[in-house]
Amino acid sequence: MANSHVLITRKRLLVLLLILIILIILLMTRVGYWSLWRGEDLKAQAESQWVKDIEVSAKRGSIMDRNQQILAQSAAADTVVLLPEKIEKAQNANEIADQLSQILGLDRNDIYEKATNTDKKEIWLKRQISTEQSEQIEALGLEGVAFRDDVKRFYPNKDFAAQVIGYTTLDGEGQTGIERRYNTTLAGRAGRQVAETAKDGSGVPNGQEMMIQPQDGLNVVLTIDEITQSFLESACKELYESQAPESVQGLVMDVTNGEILAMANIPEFDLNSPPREDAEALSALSTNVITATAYEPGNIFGIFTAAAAIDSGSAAGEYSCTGSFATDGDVVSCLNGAHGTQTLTDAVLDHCSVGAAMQANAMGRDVFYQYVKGFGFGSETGIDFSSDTAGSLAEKRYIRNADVAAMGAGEGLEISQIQLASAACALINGGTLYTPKLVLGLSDAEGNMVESYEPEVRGQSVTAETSAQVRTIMEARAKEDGISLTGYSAGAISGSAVQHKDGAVVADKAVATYIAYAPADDPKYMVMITATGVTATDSVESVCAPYVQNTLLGTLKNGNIMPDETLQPEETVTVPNVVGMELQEARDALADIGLQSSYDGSGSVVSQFPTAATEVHKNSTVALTMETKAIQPEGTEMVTVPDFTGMDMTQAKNTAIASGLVFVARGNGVVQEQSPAAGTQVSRGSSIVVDFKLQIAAAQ
Amino acid sequence: MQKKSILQKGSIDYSILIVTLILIAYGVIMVFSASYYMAQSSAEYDYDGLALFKKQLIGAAIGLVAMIFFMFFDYKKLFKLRYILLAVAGIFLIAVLTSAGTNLNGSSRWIRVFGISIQPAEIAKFALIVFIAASVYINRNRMNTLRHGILPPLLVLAPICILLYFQPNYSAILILCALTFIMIFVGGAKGWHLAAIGGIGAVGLFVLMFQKGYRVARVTSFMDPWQDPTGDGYQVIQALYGIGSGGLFGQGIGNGTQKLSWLPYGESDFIFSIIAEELGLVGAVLLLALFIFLIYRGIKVAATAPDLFGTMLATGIITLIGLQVIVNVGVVTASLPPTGVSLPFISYGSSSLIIFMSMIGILLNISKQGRRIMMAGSAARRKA
Repeated sequence: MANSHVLITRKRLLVLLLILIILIILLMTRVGYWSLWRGEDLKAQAESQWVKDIEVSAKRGSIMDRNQQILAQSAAADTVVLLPEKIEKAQNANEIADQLSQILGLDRNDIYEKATNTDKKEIWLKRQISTEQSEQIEALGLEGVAFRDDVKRFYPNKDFAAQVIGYTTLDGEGQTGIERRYNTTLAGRAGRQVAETAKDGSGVPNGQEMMIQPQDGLNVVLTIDEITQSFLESACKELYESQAPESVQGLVMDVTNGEILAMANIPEFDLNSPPREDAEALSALSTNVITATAYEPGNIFGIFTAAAAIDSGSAAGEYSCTGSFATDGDVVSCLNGAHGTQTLTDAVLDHCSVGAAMQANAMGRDVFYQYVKGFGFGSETGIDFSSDTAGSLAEKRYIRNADVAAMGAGEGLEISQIQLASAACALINGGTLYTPKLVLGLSDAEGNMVESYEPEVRGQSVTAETSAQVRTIMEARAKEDGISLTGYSAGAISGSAVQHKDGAVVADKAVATYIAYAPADDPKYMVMITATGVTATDSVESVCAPYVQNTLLGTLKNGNIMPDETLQPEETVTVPNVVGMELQEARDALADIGLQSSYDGSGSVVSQFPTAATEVHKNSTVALTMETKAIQPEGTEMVTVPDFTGMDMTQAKNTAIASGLVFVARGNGVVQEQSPAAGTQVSRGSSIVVDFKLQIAAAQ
Repeated sequence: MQKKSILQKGSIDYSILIVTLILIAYGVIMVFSASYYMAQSSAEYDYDGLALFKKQLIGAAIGLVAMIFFMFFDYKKLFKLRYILLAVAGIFLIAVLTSAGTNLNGSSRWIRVFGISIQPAEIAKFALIVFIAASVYINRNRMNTLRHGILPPLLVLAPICILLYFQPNYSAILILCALTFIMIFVGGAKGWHLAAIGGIGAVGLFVLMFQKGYRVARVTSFMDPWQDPTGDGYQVIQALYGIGSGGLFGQGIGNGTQKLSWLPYGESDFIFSIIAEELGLVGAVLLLALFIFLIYRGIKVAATAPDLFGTMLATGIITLIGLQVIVNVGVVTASLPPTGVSLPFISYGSSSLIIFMSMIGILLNISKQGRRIMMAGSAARRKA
């Protein structure tokens, strides 16, 4: 009994031993399976878990005007997030919804829904809120509301040159304009930080770490001049308000090199808050019509036909307009009836379509096409911008004589405004066609130019002689339209075309364009303003003229182009009595009626010469004897430094120029300080240094 | 009387002693490596990277004293102590359910006595082994009856399991049930009795498993830990990452990455993964080989024990070690559902270390008495 019992136990011990050993050996192979068979895979998974790859974002470059005034820059902004789990714990969803809907102007129910959505760990409530908003929210100390660092693209001048600068997505990807065209340059290259980490995110002892430094984006320096741009924009806005067209486009170019000093599309929109929800409206608002939209140019094209006629030697002495001109059965007609017999100059000035058609027909298809292409029509201008339409120019071999006649009158082809402007520049500057240019170069964070783009000549459109001849026509146009730029001579081109919309002609509406340049004898600046969808009247061609004139005048002054003294009009004015007035008051009174003043001190005026009621030429100088004499060195004329306080850049610059001072601006925005101080006597031509400071308004 | 003195002069099984010491050294080093990062970044340990290492060293020292004590303590005296041991285990098991117990992760398994954390479950395991060994010894000629062979162990096992259920500590219940089953089996219970108990046990396990949702999740995550990589499968996946990135030879002691807060309980229940990561497949297989050797020598001690009480005692001890090794490594290698069972001698935890070393001491005492008998027996055979 006992013996058998021992035997059973021993047998069963052996079974136990074998089972335990077999199980452990099975486990050994299981370990081997994981470590050898599946090892590679597991190790790769483990490594991807250990290694944290963080993108280190690069700072997006700024967009600046030609004087390095900031037009667009990136700045830190908070993004508010909700943490529903914490909110649930704190039971403050209602409070959060109440407070945040008020501060952020969001829908209360929407916030409440998000705050109670515990399916999610973190919900972004609103991105890139203003500093005030984040301060307000922070002050509340709400549980479950947190901030994440974000970067907002900030446009200090809001709607300024909106279609040129363009906007970005909330993540800073350029969508239109310069932001898009130079997106990669502005964006720079993001860096990476690759590091082995523990689960809690802390570094690992002896861990591998690798850092690729981010490369910040470069600044894009535009050819746009902030002051010229604001002249142009205010002129265009005035036009937009007074004539009620659908839209207004404006352009200021330097005819000597193709640089664009200003480019405006009205209506504008605030780049800080583009209407992102309404894609259609946003697309319409953000389109730069000047470069993106082709249209039928109409009779303004006559000047190019005339230039081609002169240059090719095919111009006739006289053109007889009977009101219509038929070729191959097609008819080109003048809407306002027969112009009768006229010279080429008159034909252009009268916008005679029949004359233009005759000129085109006379030179023939091949010659006409050679010139049309020479002016850059039918091909992209090469402008460094996000849009650049080639327009529409039928291939030469499909063209009949009737088409040539029509095209000579600006019908049956489509061009963009930028093509028109650069062709006009070529016509004005002696025939050289430049590539229109919006970007002067690229600069680094310190403001050093790392790349400069030189003017680019695309070809010679007409000879210098032809250009000179055409300029006399343009000067005649300026005179006829009464373009008067005090101290400057000017030339002009005008024209109008029927407005097409969705393939149909819009009744009683027109596209009116006016171009003017100055000085006439040595052209420098050209201003072109187009009113699209303006009411068609008899004088529609010159509807933009006054606005072009104002812009051109401002541009010339801002460009430090000295007025031609010999060009003073023989206008006379009556000298007012300024004796007893304070200096500034007296000078303002004289300036108001177009008189210059000189003075020898400060305080109030003791006497004046010429005396009151004398008839003098406009712009002559009235000498004022002042109460307090300034000690002034012999030979230098002294001026009093005006007070710039509270002025914006344009006002300040005008004031400085009016006082005969050289204007040196620092910064951007509104005047903060000036040196020398207001009232100080300095010699004419000294520098006045004015510090501007940006008044950053809330971004919302 | 003379016979007794001869028995006491016999020598212990030194290979068991040596393997145990190697295992403890292995464990202390791995606890150091696995716990350093966790401890130095944890306020609980005062940011002292060596905190767990020191505690484990102290545990090993106490364990060594206990082992030597039991080496010279005649195991037969345990026979009379069996009820006292059960009573002590019972008191601890009840005390841990009161406010005296430390609650961790939703279960109270620890109780602090004189500054030392003790797991009552460990004491219960020891007490149960002694009781069943005694029961089998008493009923050695009636083991084939249900009343004497099967019932007494089950009557003691049941209340222990109920107390453990309240902690709750299902892994300990599982281990104790398996242990009881094996001891009865070795003790000579009838085949169909064993089959019936096994069947009831399996049904009980099934019911227990599906009674609470989280255990169902654990079972499914064991089958495919990638089903829920951030939830239930997380720990097992992390353990496998450790084994996988160790390769054949490992990354070297101290060079593992998984212990850097990726693998929870890397110093205790999941230390095997850290070993595989740092010492590779070679280190892991070597460790398991050491356990196989220990089990082999332990079974031999059981087979050559001077009496059935000694046999059963040795069997219980070695079965407990074997079961814990298999369950622990099974969990870490995604071969068994995740459950918290420590790896004997290796995992961090001084109370478990002290108990296991005491058991080895008892095993050595049995070997000291048994070997003598065997040699006397073979000498007698040669004479004959």
